[in-house]
Amino acid sequence: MSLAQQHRKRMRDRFRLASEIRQSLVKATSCASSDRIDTDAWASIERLQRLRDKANSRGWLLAEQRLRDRLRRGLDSFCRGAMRVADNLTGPLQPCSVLSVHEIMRELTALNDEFKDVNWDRKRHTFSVTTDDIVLDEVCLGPFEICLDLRYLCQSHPYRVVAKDPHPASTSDSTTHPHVQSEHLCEGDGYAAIKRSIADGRFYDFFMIVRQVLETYNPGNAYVTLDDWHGVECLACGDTVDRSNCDNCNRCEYSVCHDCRQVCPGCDETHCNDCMACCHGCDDDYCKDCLTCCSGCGESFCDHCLTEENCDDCLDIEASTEAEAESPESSVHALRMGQIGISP
Amino acid sequence: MKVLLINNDGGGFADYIEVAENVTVQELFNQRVGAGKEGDYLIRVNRQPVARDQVLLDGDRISITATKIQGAQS
Repeated sequence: MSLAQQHRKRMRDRFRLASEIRQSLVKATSCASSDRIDTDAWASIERLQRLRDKANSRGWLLAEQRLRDRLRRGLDSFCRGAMRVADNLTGPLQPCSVLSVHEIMRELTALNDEFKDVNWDRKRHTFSVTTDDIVLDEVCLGPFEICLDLRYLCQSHPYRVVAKDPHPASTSDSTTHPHVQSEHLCEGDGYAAIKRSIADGRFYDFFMIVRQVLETYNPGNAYVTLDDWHGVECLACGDTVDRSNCDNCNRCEYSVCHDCRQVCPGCDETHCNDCMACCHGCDDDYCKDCLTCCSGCGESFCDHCLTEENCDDCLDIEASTEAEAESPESSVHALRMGQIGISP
Repeated sequence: MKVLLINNDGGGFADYIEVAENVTVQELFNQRVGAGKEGDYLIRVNRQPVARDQVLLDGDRISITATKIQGAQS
């Protein structure tokens, strides 16, 4: 296929897409138009009328009273809507605000300059562009496809944001971006401008705004913050876990997961395994700050197992030594050792 | 002369405005957004990047989009 033929084919495809987009826009605009009689409201009024007739014929006075009130309110509302439509019809003729096919083609041409990949899926009625790699705070999230569904333009969120080469948060596979979960972008400050651009059919602006939201990081309002994107590594078991399933050791401040953390019975604080030790007296585990060395033997003991900085064993030894020193019977008699006593 | 100004900041203002003849992109930006902030915005005329001293013509379409638009969580 020659270059000229390729160009003609590209322009033909673009024209078809522009025509489809315009049709979708016209449909979406008529959905939201204020120049139409609310036929649903009229159907509701007719239903209430039938119910009221039935209540009347059967002598259900209370039901008839309630239905009459509802009917009156419904008619008031319908009349207000009808008057609004009548006012609109008496004003000057408003030109169709939907962009022309020519303008939409310009939008599409500009999108081809702005994005590396622009696709139209005729069967699925979707129109999408692909961004470059999104890198936020040195975390690479890969490229994203912004996929607009032309069938749902009059709905609140007619597009999806799909990670093409997903680098999701370690704790949530569906979170592919701090502001994207399950292919849904939470637009934040871009909300009003995105809505307005879709309603106006300014798709060039729509895709630009969405891209800029994707290229911005708001740590104060993210599904998963980038600090925790790769999770937190537990010092004890080495697993990567969610920040909410992790605590910091009160002594060394390293992270430990809830399965590995230990609570010291002395201070009731969380500690890692390395900062805990066994009391030589009661064999319970305490944090190293709650253990004290016995001044006699030098081993570690909890407060309950020490008396005046001495463990029970050392106290016993000290007591028996003192007792022996004080008792005369405890002195060794030379005769019993096979020696002869010599009087001075 | 009239130009279509689209400011994608905040509510997404888009309307035709009256501007003087020979107004440049920079001058319009300074009037509408503020001097010295152009680095924070993508400015396009007729959907194309342009030099700041480009003179606007009748019917031009100028769009101003912030480079940083903060998202949120649901």
